[in-house]
Amino acid sequence: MLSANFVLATALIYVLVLFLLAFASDRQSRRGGNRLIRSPLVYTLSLSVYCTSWTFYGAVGSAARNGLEFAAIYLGPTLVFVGWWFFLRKLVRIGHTYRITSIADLISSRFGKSTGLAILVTCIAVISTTPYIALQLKAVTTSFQVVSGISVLSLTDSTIGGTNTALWVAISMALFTILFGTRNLDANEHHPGVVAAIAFEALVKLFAILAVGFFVVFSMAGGINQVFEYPAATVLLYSEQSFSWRWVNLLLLSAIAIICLPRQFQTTVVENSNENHLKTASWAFPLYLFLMSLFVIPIAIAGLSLLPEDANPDMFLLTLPISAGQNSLALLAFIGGFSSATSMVIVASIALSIMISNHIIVPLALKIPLLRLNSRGDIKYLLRTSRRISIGVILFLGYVYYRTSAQSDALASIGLIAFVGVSQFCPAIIAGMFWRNATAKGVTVGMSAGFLLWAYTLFLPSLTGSPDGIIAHFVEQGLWSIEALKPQALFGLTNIDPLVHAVFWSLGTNIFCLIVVSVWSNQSPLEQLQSALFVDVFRNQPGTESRVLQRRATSRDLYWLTQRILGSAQARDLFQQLSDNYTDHHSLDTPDPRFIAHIERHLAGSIGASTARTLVSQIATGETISLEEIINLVDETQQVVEYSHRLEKQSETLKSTARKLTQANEQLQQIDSQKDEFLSQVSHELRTPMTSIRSMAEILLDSNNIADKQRAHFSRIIYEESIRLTRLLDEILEISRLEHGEMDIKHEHLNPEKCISRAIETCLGIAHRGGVSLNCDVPTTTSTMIGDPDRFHQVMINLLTNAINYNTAQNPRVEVSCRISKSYYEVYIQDNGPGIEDRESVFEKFSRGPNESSLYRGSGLGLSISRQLMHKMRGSLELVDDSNCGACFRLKMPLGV
Amino acid sequence: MIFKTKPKATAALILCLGTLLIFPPIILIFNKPLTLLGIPISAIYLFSIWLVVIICSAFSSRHLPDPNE
Repeated sequence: MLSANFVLATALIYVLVLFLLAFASDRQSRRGGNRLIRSPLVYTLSLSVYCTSWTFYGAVGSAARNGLEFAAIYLGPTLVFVGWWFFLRKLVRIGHTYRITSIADLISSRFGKSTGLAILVTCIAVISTTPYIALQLKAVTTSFQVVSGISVLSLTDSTIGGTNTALWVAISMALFTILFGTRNLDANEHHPGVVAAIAFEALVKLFAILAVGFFVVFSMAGGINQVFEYPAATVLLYSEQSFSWRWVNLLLLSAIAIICLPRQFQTTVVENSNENHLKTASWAFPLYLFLMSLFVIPIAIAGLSLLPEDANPDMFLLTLPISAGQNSLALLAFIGGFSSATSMVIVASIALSIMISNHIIVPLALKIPLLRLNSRGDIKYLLRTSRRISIGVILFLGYVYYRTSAQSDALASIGLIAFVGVSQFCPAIIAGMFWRNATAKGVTVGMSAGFLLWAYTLFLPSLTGSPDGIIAHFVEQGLWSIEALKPQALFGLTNIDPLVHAVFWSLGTNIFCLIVVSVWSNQSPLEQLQSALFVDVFRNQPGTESRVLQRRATSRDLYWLTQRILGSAQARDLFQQLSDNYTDHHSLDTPDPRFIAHIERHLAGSIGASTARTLVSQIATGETISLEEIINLVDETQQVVEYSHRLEKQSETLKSTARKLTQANEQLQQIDSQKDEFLSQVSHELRTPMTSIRSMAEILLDSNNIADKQRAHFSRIIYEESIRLTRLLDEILEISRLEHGEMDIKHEHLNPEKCISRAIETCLGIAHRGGVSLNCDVPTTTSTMIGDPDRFHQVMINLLTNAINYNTAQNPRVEVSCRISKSYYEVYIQDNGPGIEDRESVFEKFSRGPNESSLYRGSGLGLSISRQLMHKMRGSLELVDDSNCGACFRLKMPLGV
Repeated sequence: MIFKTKPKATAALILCLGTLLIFPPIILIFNKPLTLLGIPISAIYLFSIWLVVIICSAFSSRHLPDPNE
């Protein structure tokens, strides 16, 4: 048996070690040598603040009562950390980006930096955590009594003496927390000294429980198999009721608690210095929990089997070594439990004191004119003092609760009550991170309703130990003795575990109200902005908020404010750093919105988003929130979708353009080759007359003795060939003008009879010379045709001269006849010549009849020009396909109305 | 290995399977008064699932991209 003084001295030395460790780490961190403190291992160990004395002692107690049920408390967090990529990563990123200081800050910041919401969350957190702190004090006191002197047999009585121990524990914890938890009001709430101490305590408690476990299993019971041979093993590990609703419920609650417990939020999010640490913690923290629970069942079985029946199962960890005479092991177990309790108390009171000072005391102080905090006054001093006082008050509250409810139930039930209390934050956090349209009103209503139901169905019934029995009566009879309002059987929901009952009603109502009220209410502009910033935290670029939130402030005011909150040294550093970044396009005299937003975010890292906003708003003027920018922000997802649609469309357009270009290219190539052909034909056509002109001219130049007659003959040939050349060039020019649409074509009413007669008259001379009879059958008509008289004449002449010149028949004959069809005036020119063999190419350029008479040599462009002219006059020129000998051309001219 | 080629899908799979295996009704399959190597089967099942999930998570985390990048 150890003496009380010895145990107390050990505990004091242990606390002293913690102080030294925290002090050294703080100093190391200030000097920048914080590699170990900022390592993933220390981060993981600091998360083990989850394992309080409730899990250290209480897990064995819970296992002794309900078997494997205790594991649910560790399995929920395991799942959350295994799935870190999907949830914790985003939460930590939000915490980093917006310098979140606490869970109240997270919720209020997301829902429009609402002060009211921050106060609500803070109150819920304080009310749920106070019993939890009391539980730690109780565990320390009880374990102290057990380990120091009171006989094993009377262990069930935990009220004898020891209350002073609790007081001393509370005082020393308060001192520790005040010293290391409020030391530096950094621009982010990092407490390297505290984290180092917590990590150290994590190792101590793991070592302690493993040591006791090994001793109990291998020394006391004689091996693993022997442990499970005790009859208690079967009783504990097999029950029809195992893994029922309660199991599911506990898994859910513990998964929620690992995020929503204020101390857990503090270590996981606020104290996180590097997001990459989550990667290690994702498996190392579950492994820590696994090791912590590995010996719980064997110890519980051994305790039930080896200790007297009335021994308190919550203290098996101590009483088993004591009963075996292993006092030093018992002392180690006591230190382990002491570590669990103190680490929880320290971190929880830091987290709560940050919330109380940031969200209750400073906003209140700002409203009290007497304090004159608005104009001047050292906010930093106020923050530090209020935090110190809050830590004292929180621990005092815990102590008071411990004193008043010292006789209440096992450790586990108090822990679970706290779990359900803080789980009311969970719907707000999840909705805040993933649901854009969740509103502050929805969250406020949901959380308040959930909290009230928690208090009514779970917290109140836990106070049945009150002396006058009012509460016990109330729990049994219901409010105003109404059956349906019984706290543990609300609306007649009986035959259900009280915990499941409370979780169902409180969380269910919370979620229901959150969704319904959010759908029915609207977000304020600031809420919309914050919602976009939080939900899309991975996509937003830094400085997005300043795009939306426009305001002006002088840098003197900003500096003054920063100094009041962070102190002059930090304010100077911050402004120095910012002015280096921002001087490129803005002078510091008139800071731009980005600068102001940056300062506000820095201040929020110290006093919380809502208070920082209140303070900055007091010195900033002309604040406008650009709705358009918010809509842009909110619609960014929509924009991405739209953008991809547009890209798709563009690529389709590009494809069709490419197709068109290919076609155009092919056409161009075709045209190019046609042009080449045309050019070669033209040069060939020009060459023939040029050759004859040159040779004639050479003869004339070279020979002096040429007869006059001969000379005149040569001269005439030269003359005729030049004429032909000129005509050819004229026609080429004409065809080029036609093809380029440069020729003006008139559209007049023409008398067909007159036009045809005129053309025939012109050709009569050639016909007579060639001995061709030209017959004409043009009926008199009142109809007119529409076209250009000169061009029509040109076409007629071309067709008639062709018919005359190429006619090689014995009795050459050309007949012109006319007909009126539905909308055309048709002219037929029929000859009895050899006909046209190559019907396909007759209208092409430079195509000529095969047996061209020497008398007449055309350019080969006539028919091509004629056809184009007819097209221009909206008529046509065709070669009629009939069996008669000779060729027959048909001219169609549109009829005038 | 699937941990390397599809790290996010693997992480999701581990989470889903881990959750499924420790929830009723699957866990009820092992809630029987049987022993394996002298240890009740429910304890063996729960603790081995737990350990396997941790090991898988360690593998999958290693291949997930760094959140800082």
